[in-house]
Amino acid sequence: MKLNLQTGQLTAWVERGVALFCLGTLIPAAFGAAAQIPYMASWWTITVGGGIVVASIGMMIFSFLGRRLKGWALVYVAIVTIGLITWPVGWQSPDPATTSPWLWMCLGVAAVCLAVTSGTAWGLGYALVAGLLFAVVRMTPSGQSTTLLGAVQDMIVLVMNSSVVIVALGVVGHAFTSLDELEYASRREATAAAIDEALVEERHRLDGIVHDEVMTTLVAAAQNPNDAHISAQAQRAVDRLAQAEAPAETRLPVTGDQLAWLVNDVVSALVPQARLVSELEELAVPQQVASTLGMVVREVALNVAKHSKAEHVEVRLSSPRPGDVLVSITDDGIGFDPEQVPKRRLGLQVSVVYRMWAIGGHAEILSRPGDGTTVNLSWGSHGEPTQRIKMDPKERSERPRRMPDIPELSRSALVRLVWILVALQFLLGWTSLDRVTSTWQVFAAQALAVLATMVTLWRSEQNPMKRSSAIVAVTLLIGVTLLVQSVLPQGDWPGYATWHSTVVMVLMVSILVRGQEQVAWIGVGVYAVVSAVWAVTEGLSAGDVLRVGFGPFSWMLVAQLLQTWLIEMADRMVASRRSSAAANRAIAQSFSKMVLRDVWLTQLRAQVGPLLSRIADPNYELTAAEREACLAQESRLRDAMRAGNLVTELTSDAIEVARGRGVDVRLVDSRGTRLPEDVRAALTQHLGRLLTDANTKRVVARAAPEGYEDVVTVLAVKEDGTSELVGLDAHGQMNTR
Amino acid sequence: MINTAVIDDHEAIRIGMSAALAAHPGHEVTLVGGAGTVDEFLENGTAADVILLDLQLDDGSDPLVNTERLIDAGYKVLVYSIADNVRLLRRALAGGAAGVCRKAEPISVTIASIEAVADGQVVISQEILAAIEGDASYVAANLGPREREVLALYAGGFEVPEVAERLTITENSVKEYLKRIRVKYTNVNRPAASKLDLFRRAIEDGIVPPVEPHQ
Repeated sequence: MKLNLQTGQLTAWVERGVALFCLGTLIPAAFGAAAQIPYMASWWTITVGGGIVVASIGMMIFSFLGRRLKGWALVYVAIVTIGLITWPVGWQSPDPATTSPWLWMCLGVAAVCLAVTSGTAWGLGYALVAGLLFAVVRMTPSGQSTTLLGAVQDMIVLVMNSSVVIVALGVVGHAFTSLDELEYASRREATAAAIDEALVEERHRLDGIVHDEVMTTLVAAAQNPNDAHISAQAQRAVDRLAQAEAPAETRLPVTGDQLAWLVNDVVSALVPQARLVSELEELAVPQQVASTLGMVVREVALNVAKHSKAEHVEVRLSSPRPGDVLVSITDDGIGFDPEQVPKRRLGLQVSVVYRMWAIGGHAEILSRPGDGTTVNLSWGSHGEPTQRIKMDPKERSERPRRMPDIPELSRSALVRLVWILVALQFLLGWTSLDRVTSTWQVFAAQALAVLATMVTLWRSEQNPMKRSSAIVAVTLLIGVTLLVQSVLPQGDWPGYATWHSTVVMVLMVSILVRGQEQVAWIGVGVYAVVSAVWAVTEGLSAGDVLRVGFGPFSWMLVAQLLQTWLIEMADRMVASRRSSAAANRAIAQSFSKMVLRDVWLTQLRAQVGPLLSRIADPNYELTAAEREACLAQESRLRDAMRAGNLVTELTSDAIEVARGRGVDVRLVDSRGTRLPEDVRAALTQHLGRLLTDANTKRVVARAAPEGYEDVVTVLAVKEDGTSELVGLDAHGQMNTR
Repeated sequence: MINTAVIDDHEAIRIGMSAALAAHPGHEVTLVGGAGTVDEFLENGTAADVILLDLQLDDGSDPLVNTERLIDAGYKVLVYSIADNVRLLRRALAGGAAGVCRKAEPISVTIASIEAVADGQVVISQEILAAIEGDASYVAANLGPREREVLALYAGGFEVPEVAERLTITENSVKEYLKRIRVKYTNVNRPAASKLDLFRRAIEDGIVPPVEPHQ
């Protein structure tokens, strides 16, 4: 069975992405750490540094094995947090640090890990707390003894960066989840519709055979029993039924929904008052098991209808364990003492217990006199992997909906977010005005940046954006970069005076997302070259070059991957929708064939099979009683076809007996659509009373056309000529007219 | 002497009918012919008074068209069916069929119906009136309150005297009501003035296109 895309699968992909992110962060972190390790206590480096490496690798392995990430992610978060708190203690050098603690890179990642595994609120909360802690650490000697302003700047950057990633993941996750749910719901609906359609088709086909061949044979045989033509007609009827029974080419497994349908079909024909509760979700059982379960349920329902005198019957389908099926039929009837029922009695023993045993299942009958009866039918898949085509319901319920608290971010919200990010960078730029050699260039650059942002977000409802706008925006951004660089201090790291790099990153990613990938990549490339040239001419360290020049580059890479991945996912959705439409048809046909073969035809064969083969035998002479039986069976089939809405199988039995006594029973269905269950139940009871009453001479039950006050009317004429007309309203309430 | 013919795609039914008539003396009905389809029957040009017409023939033809063609050819039509779809029965009634017989009924009942139809009577039966009652749009558009009342009681199983008693009117009035409902149904439904009318009626009957299962 082809694996279909569904909820859960994508969360696995998100987790894989996060794991990759953790692993990727190790590289720049290692650069930073290399410079600081000599000053750190070895116990700190081993526990915290080693712990982070182990947790990152562990996450990677687990996520690609398809296992849950949460444990490893929490370990990662804990190690990073402890590492941050113990940083000042682990700092062994008497001199203050010359650079920021390398751990800061892992703090944002930890916030993202927490968001993905425990929820967005946790992630954002952690980002805030970690930002505060980091600010405090920054002001200690081990954290470069920065000023309060510098610490606050660091905090803003940390909180902001991780928030952006968390929100972005939330948006993606939300989009996927809703897409998945939509897909799942529509697939379910399509399957149900396909099954309904296939069943109606099979039913029509069978009714056609019953009408054209079986009933015609019965009538003709009753009129003129011993004629070669009639035998030939009977043989044709037998052949047509055998043809209909021909096994389907494919016997696809039966799903939970289908099993529920089957059980409902079987039960409601016998016990209209039964209430069906299906808790089966995604499972698949072999057809043979499904049809045996159907037959056994039928047997149990027959017992309930015949003996229990129950008012309430509940049929519950559930999966106690993934892949298993448990059908519980509970009634509030008179019950019985299972010990008192002779073991050899057919009924329950053979038809229920033995049949369940034959498919590797188990039947349990719990009853006490006066206390109702419960029959539990269980069947286990024994963990056969082929029996599970989808995720188990249990596993699914364990998976919390990821990021449930992210509201659907609209386009305008995202536009606003970009503006906020740009504005925050301006703020950082203003707080670093003391570091630059001249200020007017900074303001000019910010004015250009505002222009670039406007151009980038212009007409954001159109995608892709115009190529010319993208080129203008990129050119403006390069202008911003050159302006800012022209006033940066020489020789040392300028701190947040390089606010422009984040602006460049945000806008380049926006251009990428808006469909101008090439322009965005060229822009980032030019930016990287310009930055690298500046950094080299200023004599900055390799780490700083990476920080300024390749920050936007790495973010572009992440965005590009995310985008590619989104598009690929969408393609897979379309493909899976196509393949599932075909699969739906196949499943529906296979299932309806099974119902036809194992349920409807089985019943029909039991009803008329022996009679038909006798008629088909040219050497057999039908007795008068058999000719009567032909007419009785014909009436029964006619009732089922014309007024199946009105009678259950047991009522049909009672009608057959009553007709045998000479009672005139007529069923009329002027309604056509299904009767409400309450009405069916009340009607079954009422007819049962009338048909067993020796004084009844004539009964006419009629379903009124829709829109009438009485849904059903039942006329009973007694031997003494008096008549009684009873109406049943939509709730099954009786009134005498 | 009443000459009848059976149009039914099952030979066994035609043979059974013939045997049953022979086994039941004391009537004027003679089976003079049979065919599998209306086309075949009209081609043969059998001289008969009453045609027993099956609703579902092998060629998938529409009962309304079949009935109209037979009536146009000068025959009287009695529906002879097993347990056909009510909508098909309505089509035949709209086409002008005079009555309905079930194949499983005792032959004496069938003979009585044939005699009545040959006599030019419109047969009213609960089955026919229930079929009319089920045509909700027709009832709503064409029947008055009293007619509906009579129809509901009769279709619900009461015999004519019981309906009369319940509504405190004479039995004859009940019969008149029923006959009027019955005749109106045919008259309202045919002949169709235009193709558009025909189409509209067909939609009302819910059978555009006729999709009865046959195979």
